[in-house]
Amino acid sequence: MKALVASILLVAAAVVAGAWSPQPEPRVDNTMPAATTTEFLAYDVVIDAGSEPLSAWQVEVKDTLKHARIVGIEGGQPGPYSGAPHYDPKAIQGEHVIIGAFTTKDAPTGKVRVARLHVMAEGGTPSFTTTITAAAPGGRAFNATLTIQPHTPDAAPGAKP
Amino acid sequence: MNPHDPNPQIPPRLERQLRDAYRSLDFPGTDAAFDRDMLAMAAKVGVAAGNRRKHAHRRFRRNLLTGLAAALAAGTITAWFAWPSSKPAPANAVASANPRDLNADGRIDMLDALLLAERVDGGQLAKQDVQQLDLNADDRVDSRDVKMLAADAVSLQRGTL
Repeated sequence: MKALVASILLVAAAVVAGAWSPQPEPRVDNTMPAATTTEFLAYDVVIDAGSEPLSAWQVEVKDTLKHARIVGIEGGQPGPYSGAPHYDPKAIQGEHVIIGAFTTKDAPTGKVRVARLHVMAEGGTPSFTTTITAAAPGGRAFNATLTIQPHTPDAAPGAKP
Repeated sequence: MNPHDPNPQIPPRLERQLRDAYRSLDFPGTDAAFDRDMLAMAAKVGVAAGNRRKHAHRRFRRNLLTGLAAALAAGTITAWFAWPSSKPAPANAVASANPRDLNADGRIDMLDALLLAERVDGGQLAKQDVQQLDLNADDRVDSRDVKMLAADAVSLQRGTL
């Protein structure tokens, strides 16, 4: 009986100690906050479809460092993907977006700039994690290569000035 | 058997064995009264030893049960606090029975929108398709339903990152 009572008391004490462990007192920081740098950046979303016609694509982009806030989504190079892609409006002001588009007409091949993301970066350079899905006519999926590159007017394929 | 019994009795089998043992020694002059005294003493000793064994056994069993109960309680509490929250399945992983998952790859994405657009353009919609893919419930499947499906595909709730 003694052992049972002792065991129960021991377990209860452990639980109470875990729940009531003293919280660290909030630090009062009297120093001035460090000046955060804010930049507005543009990134080209480029898909290399190789020899396959890029009839549909979907790209998910997330800034794992949470420095970026998406402030705009623009279409890509002239052609079927020149208009703004589909996206969830909730993505604006966030660091995470899914964009995508399709065409039932002539699909481009090779390197295609399908969209441009405009972001506001605070406190550092964004670091993007991405996924891509691409398909040829008939919805046949194929492997394509995705590049998210800082926008430079002369470097991006099909770039508009 | 009661250890305080003034006239304890030993089990018949033990009595038989003791009698057989004394008989084999064949002490001359051993009378019935001596036999009774010896048997009574043996019974007292046997009862006391039996009681000690019984108490020890009970104590061991009680300690074992107490220990097991304490271990079980501690394990349950530890698991309650330490168990990692289960990550929900990705929202885009849907049952392929979903009529919007046209290519039945288990997810709704831009490839399904492309397939629906191709069916709408080609007039390849069966009556069943109209029932299942009339997303805006206007009794027809057209480009507006395709747009709804595309918007659904890029919903942040379907993200995997």
